Amino acid sequence: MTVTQALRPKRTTGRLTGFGNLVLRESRKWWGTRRWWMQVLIWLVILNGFVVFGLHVMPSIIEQSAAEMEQAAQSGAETMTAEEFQQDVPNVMFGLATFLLPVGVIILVQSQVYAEKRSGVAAWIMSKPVGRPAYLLAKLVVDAIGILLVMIVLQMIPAYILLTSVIEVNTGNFLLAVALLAMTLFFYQSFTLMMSVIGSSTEMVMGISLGVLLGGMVLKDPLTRILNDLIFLTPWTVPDAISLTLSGQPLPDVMQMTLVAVPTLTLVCLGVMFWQFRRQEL
Amino acid sequence: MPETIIHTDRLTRTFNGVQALNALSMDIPAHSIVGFLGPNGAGKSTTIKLLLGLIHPTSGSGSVFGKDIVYESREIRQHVGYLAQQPRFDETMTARQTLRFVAKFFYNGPTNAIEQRVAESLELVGLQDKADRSVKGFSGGEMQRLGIAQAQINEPNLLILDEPAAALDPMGRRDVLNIMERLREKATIFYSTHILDDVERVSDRVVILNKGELVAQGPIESLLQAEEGAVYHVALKGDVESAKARIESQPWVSALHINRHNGTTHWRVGISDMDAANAHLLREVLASEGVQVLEYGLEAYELEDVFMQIVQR
Repeated sequence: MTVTQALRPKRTTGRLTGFGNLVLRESRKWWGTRRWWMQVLIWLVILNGFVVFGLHVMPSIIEQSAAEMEQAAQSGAETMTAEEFQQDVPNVMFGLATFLLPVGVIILVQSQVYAEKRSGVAAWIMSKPVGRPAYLLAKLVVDAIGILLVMIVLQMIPAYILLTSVIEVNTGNFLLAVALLAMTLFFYQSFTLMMSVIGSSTEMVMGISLGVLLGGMVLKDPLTRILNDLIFLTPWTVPDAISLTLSGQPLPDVMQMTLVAVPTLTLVCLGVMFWQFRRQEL
Repeated sequence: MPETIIHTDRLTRTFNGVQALNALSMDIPAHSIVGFLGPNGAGKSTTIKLLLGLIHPTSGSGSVFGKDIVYESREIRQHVGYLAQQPRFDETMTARQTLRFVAKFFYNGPTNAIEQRVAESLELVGLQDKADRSVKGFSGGEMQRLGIAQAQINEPNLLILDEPAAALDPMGRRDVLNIMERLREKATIFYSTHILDDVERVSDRVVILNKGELVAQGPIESLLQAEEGAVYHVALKGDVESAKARIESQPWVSALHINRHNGTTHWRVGISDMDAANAHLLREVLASEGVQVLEYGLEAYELEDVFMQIVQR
């Protein structure tokens, strides 16, 4: 049997034609390069490094400087005991994660489509029997899995082990907080991928994506005064929801809007992304 | 497979008010090698991208294998191999990985069969010894070779090559032309180029664009003959006046240019009816007494002459 006889031509399968092959290509970028372990290492150092610092280093500093702390407390300054500091570590770690992990996601995703369009790689791939949605979906799915595993699962498992070895952590609340964090990251991934499809320069894609993240952090309070409850329709209030969840308090009704709004915004971003890419010229 | 592989009907594309392609109507028959010519900015790459569905027409329509270029683009690309003007590949891949990646868009099948197909393609373009090098370090010529390899890996019915020999040295160019000649047995080849010698060497037909408009299309021989109509060259000695009068009076003669040099008269006889000229021209000249015919024949044009005449009109 000749090679050509042994090979069976593939049939086009609608808009997802080529999806499997593209998933393999995108997966290679994550798992076939140093990307995954570099990311694991970076976030282990930052997030779990903080957990270790907060649980073990900082309490011993507080205990060693007990006299100074007592003096400061007597003079009216707000102080924390070592135990109080340890109890607050999950909250601060999730605070760090909801700010820094989206920055990492934006950096990872920003060039996904834009750079390939600019270099001609996108046109090369689209000259094959490939559905345009398949091209985007492969990037979305593989990146989402990579982000979920590397930035969330492989960070939160050691964090949970470290935390529960020292303080009491409600597992259900912790998992809920992780789920909210994953929802936030998926929003920023979708938003940045949409910008990578729409954007006409790296600066534009990065600038707008980081602008949405940082702008929300900086302008949340003044915007709350203007927008009132509408602020809960943005992803900027997710850190507050995580904080409440970790402390075991029920989310106020108005904050539950966030849990609907962020997935909805994510779907809107994905819709715009697919619609834009369908009509784009390569 | 239909006899006409590519058909366009008033295919038009405008970019921000600038007409890149204006009402292109062309037909490309199966099993031909077609040189797609035109100066820079003539609309060649735009046409190619339209055929592949990478961009959409402003108006008009087109089909490849009888399938619509807008609505059935994926099905078309299943049977097309494409080489871009400046081929770019995923720089994280090696040449072998690139070909494997492309092959898997087209084929299911045992891994060893795909690997063998990849190896054959690498051999075809002479990249066996660079197969496992990252394409990031490839030269322009190596990229071009890899581009040809990936374009033909699915044994396409139609190969669309945008400037396939542009980045190659003379030996690379020769190799590419040889590859094209080998592939013509299985595929129709539609390629754009500036290298007119290559077109004359391998093409059956040409399509010439200028400023977004079709200015000529057809078999290469008829294009070489038909420009100005065919022209016969006749060198004469003796009393040519009576012969001149006879020839000028013929209805199939469109022009007669006379030049004298060292006692010899040179005629360039423009012909409007080739069959009549073939049958009667020499007979009419010799019918005049006192005329001696030293040279007689159809003038051969270089494609470059024809191309320049057409695009400079």
